[in-house]
This record gives sequence, C-alpha cells and structure tokens, in this order.
Amino acid sequence: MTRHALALLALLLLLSLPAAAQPPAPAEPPPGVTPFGEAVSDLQARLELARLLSYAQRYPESVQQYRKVLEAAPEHLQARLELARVLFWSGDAAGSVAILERIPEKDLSPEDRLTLAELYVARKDYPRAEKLLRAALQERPGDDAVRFKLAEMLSWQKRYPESLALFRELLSRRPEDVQVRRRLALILAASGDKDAAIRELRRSLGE
Amino acid sequence: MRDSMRQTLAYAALSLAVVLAMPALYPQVRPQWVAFRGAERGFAAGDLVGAARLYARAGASGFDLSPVLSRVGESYLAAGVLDQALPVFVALLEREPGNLAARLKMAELLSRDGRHGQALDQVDQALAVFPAWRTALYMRARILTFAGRFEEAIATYQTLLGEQP
Repeated sequence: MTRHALALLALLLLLSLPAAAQPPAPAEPPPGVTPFGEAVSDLQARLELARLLSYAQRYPESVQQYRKVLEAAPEHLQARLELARVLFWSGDAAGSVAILERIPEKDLSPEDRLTLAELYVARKDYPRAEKLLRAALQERPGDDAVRFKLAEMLSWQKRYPESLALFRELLSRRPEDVQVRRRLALILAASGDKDAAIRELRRSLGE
Repeated sequence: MRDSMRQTLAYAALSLAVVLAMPALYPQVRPQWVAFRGAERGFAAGDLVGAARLYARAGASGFDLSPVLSRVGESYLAAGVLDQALPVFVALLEREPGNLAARLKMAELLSRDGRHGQALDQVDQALAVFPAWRTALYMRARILTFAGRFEEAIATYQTLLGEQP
C-alpha cells in the first residue's frame, strides 16, 4: 500500500515537472513601450479609426467617430478639419461649411482653405470663394490649380477680362497645356472675341 | 636639502602634468569607453540619435555592447538606421525570446522597413501572451494601416476601443 502511494506520488511529481519547467507567465505587459514613438490614448486611436473609416468610404461611421473625438476634445482642430472634409466627401456641404467657418482662418491650411473655397463655389457664394482663392494664390503663387480654379470661377461670373488674364498667365507658365488653351478659347468666344478663339483652338490642334 | 626640494618640486610638476594631460590622453587610449559612456549619457538624456552614433563608434572599435543591446537597438531605431538596428534586435530576441517590449520594437522596425507581414507576426506573438495589450493592439492597427489592410485595421482599432467590430 505504501509502495503504491509512493509510486503515485512519484508519478504526480513526474507529471508536474514539465509545468514546473515552464517559465512563469508574466503578470502584465512591460510598461513604457510607445509604438512609433507615440503614446496610446483613446483619443488618438479614435481619431485614427475615424480617418481610416473615411479612407474606406464608410462616411457615416467616420463622422460618428469624429464626433466622439470632438465630444472628448471639442477644440481638437485636426478632428474638426477632418470632419469637415469627410462631411464634404459624403455630400453634406452645409455641415462642412458650418464647421470650417467656425475655425479661425489662420488655423486653416492651404488645402483646407481650398476645400472651403470649393464649398463656397458649390453654394455660388463667389465673393467668399474669390477671397480665399486669391489669398491662396498670394500664399502660393506657383499653384496653377488654384489659378485655374479662380479663372474658371471668374468666367462663370462673366468677368471675362480678369478670367482671360489668369488663363493667359497660366498659358505663359504651361504653353503646351492643350486643355488650358481650349478653355481660354471658350472664354474668348464667350467674351465675343471669336477670331482670337478660333486662333487659340487652331493652336491647340497643332495647326 | 636643496636637492630634496628640487626633487619634490620635480615630482609635483610631473604629477601635475600627468593630471592635466589625462583628459586629453584618455580618449586616445580608451576611445571605445569614451564613446560608450557618451552614448549612455545621450540615451539617458533622451538624445537617441546622438547615442546611436556613439554606440556605433564604440561597437566599431570592438566594445562589447551585448549587455546594453536593448538601448543600442532603440537608439538605432530612433536614428532610423534600420540596417544596423535589425541585427541588434535579432540578437536581443535570440537571447531573450520573452522580451515583449523588444518584440514590439522589432515589429516597429520591420514595419518601417516595409516588411509588414513579418512585423505583424512579431505583434501577434506579443498578443498571444497579452491579448488585450493596448500598445500591441495599437501597433497592430497601425501596421495594418501601413499595409493598406484598412478593414482589418478598423476592426483592430474597434477592439482596442472596446467597440464591436
């Protein structure tokens, strides 16, 4: 009987050996690891989630996450700007403008100002759009996309001389740009200068 | 008496010269130690880029950096010298496979090098030990984002934030 008990004890000891040989599992993860040099905060994680949802074009969920970020940090400038953009992409122009207009102009990046200008154009609020586009052009005189946008907008308002001046400026910078030349031709035609329009169209066709 | 005084003065002058010359001579005699101590000071002060340069100098002159591999690796990583950081983390993880902080650093390194799949393997090893480790979950989400796997990244962020994916 004693021999059996000893044998059982020995067997139990043997069975427990592999478990005893395992190093004890750590109780908690090591502190102080900051992935990519950034501390993990809910706010930051949520902001990145909101951004990702917008990349995946899941706009309503993205908007919801941005709103949660802004509930926690109402003055979070980046979140407000990004929310405005997502609202714009999702078709809520009015919501986007409402957010952007509450942000001081000095805090808007050139891209944000352009977004706001586009929103104003979409609402046919041309004076405000023009102010922003001219400011953007003054800031970045080499930005032909802004120059083109401004020239187009002026032509819609039938302010042909100003529009033509900008298109000519554009062409002097990019003489080979056929599309800009054709656009210039159209505006020349609209302004009544048909001969010049024909001349420009011919040039755009390489004649 | 005069001789003895002259001798004492000569010894004193010699000792003074040795003391004064020591700071200038020491870096010539033990450059690797000077570099190592500078690196350690830089690391402690948070100047990881400067520390990386000095660790590299110490290592190049034959100094044994194995006791401080994690600091060396972290400094190289901060300095962006990924090719130098990689062997350091490989050696560190061979020696300490359970060092999860080093594993996450390795994951960061691999991800920054564009090897997202291998980076995720490292993070997943850490998450196998601590499934709810926020740092590892955050890193997983970032790496999935860098890899363009947005839907998986979104699900990971949602897990991290305690929301239903």
